Amino acid sequence: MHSPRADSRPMRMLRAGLLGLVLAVGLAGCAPTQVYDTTTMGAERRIISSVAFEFDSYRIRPDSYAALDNTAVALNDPQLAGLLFEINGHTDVIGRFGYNVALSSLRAGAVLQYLAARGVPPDRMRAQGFGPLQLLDPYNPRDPFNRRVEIVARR
Amino acid sequence: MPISDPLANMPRSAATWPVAALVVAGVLVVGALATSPVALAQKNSGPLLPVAPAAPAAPQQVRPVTPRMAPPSTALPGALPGAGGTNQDAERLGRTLPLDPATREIRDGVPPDRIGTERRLGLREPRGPATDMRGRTPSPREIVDALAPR
Repeated sequence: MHSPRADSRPMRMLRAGLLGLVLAVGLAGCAPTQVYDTTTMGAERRIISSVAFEFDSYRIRPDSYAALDNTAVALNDPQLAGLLFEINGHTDVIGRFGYNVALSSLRAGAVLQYLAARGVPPDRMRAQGFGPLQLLDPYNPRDPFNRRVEIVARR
Repeated sequence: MPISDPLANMPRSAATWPVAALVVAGVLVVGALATSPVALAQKNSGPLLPVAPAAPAAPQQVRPVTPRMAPPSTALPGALPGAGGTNQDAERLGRTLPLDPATREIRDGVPPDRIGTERRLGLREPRGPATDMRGRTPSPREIVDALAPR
């Protein structure tokens, strides 16, 4: 017959081993798991640039030149080599839809031309005019917050 | 007198498995919470709008009105200071868009079929996180960091 002392030691070891195993499995489950969404993560990124235009016009305001000059320098940076750039113009909903799409397209084109003149290869850029189709704040579609130019970098 | 293990008097399976089962259950609950879709979405969410304010705006610097470089000779009127860019151009272009007249004339609104309209216009909808750099002049380094693939 086994003494209680003799029985308790292997049982304690067994319990400790089991506990260690379970903890290891549990911690593995809790470890940071990188989940990549292949539609977005790493595939493309964008900035909302601080380009401003004259009212109801696609003429770039002079106070935006500095930001655009810096953008041109950035798009020519070796770190962005091989990427394509989309220049996307957006408006709010005020006015006629067709006009807004056209105006945003002209504004995006003006930015593209400006960047091209500062050395960004035109064949790496594409201008798009979304008008009010991509509102930043759909609950306030008339808000000027929705007017913007975005620059998208994608492979 | 040796201290006896109270569990030692129990049958082996009865002594071990309740403890192990409790530990397993606890760890699985913690693991499940940590790897739930909500937790993963929070962990992997990028600086999506509008939660992505960039660095605080730098003090506004007074810039010369003239651009650093001469205006490009090939630029559209909109890129040239003081030239063109009138709304008549937008009116003209708006009439040539591949849209039915009813859609084109929508006032203060968006067509119900947004995706279909984008497709008709040949637009590619952007995806991925955005960094808002409005209201300031970001440096080239900031722009590169915001656009570089991760």
